This record gives sequence, structure tokens and C-alpha cells, in this order.
Amino acid sequence: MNASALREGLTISQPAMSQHLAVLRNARLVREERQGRFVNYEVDPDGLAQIARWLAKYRAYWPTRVDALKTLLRDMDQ
Amino acid sequence: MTDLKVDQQGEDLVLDYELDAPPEKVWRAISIPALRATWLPSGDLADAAPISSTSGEEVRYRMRDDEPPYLESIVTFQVTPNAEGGTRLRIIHGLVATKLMRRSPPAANSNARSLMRAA
Repeated sequence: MNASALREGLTISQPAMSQHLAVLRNARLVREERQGRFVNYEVDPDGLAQIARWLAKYRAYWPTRVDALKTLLRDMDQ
Repeated sequence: MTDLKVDQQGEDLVLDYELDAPPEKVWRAISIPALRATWLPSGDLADAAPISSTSGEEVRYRMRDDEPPYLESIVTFQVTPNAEGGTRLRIIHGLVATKLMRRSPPAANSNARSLMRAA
């Protein structure tokens, strides 16, 4: 979809839409594809997969870290 | 010692833990670098210095994932006393880029400390 199509039905200015798309592009949630004068935007599946991997990793990471914190708290003086 | 719940708000991980130790002790364990490094390795942080710190209550660190694409994130530790004389530790962890979608960028002339890397 191009930026004008994305804006349909929304009360958002064209520059504002461009800014939002730039943020989504930097976050790798959308990617753009140029076709001549037009730029089409689509969901970036790689970016979404990356975020899903990150979440899964740190969901498992924190319980392990907190176990280490509990060990430290037991070893610390009051 | 029970781990209350694992929750997710938007793209942030939100985890609550009940600890037997009093809040002052937990605060030292999360804020004094030498103690913090024993359970949260400095190598997992983008910067060993906190982004912000409210003594006894909240400290925030910037983290960097250890594998490509080395996603940067911000972790917030919140310390509150619980009814049993222990501590509730809340961990809020979110990616930096996804945060941008919900918050407007800070003003360029704000007084907030900006993170810079030496060349």
C-alpha cells in the first residue's frame, strides 16, 4: 500500500504519516518498495520475527537472572 | 518466595517478583555496580551507568542483545515494600525502537542526558 492509501479514512496529514512510517521502518516493522514514482509499504516479516525472538529470549532470561539475584541477597550482609 | 506473574504490556515484558529481602537491601543489589554485576552481567548492558535512578525506588539501564542485530532495549527495575516485610521487584523490559511508536521523540533542546559513544 502506498502512503496515500494508508491515510484513507484517517485524519492525519501527509507529513505526519511519513513520520510515522519512518519510525515503523526504523523499527523494522514495515519495509518500503519503490515502484517508479511510488513507494509501497508492507509489513516486514523479518523485523516482526526478530522482535518475537527477542521477547522469547528475555522471557527466559529474567527468571534466571532473578535466581542469581536471590542468591546474592542471601549472601549479602544486612 | 513466590514469583507472582509474568505479564506483557504492549511490546514490553513486565515481570513481578516477591523477594524475602527488605527493599533497602534489594536496592543496593540492583544499583551498586559491583553487586549488580554479580547477577546482571555488565556485558549484557549497553552502559554500566544507569539511564536514570530514583534512590530506593527505580533504576533504569540500557541493554544490548549479545547477538546480531544487537537490539537495544531499556530495563526498568522498580522496588516497593510488600506486606511481609520483603520486596516486590518489578522488571519492565522493552525494545528501544518499539518504544518510539508510542512516545513522541524528546525535544532536541531538552535537558535529558543523551547517550553518545566515544569515537
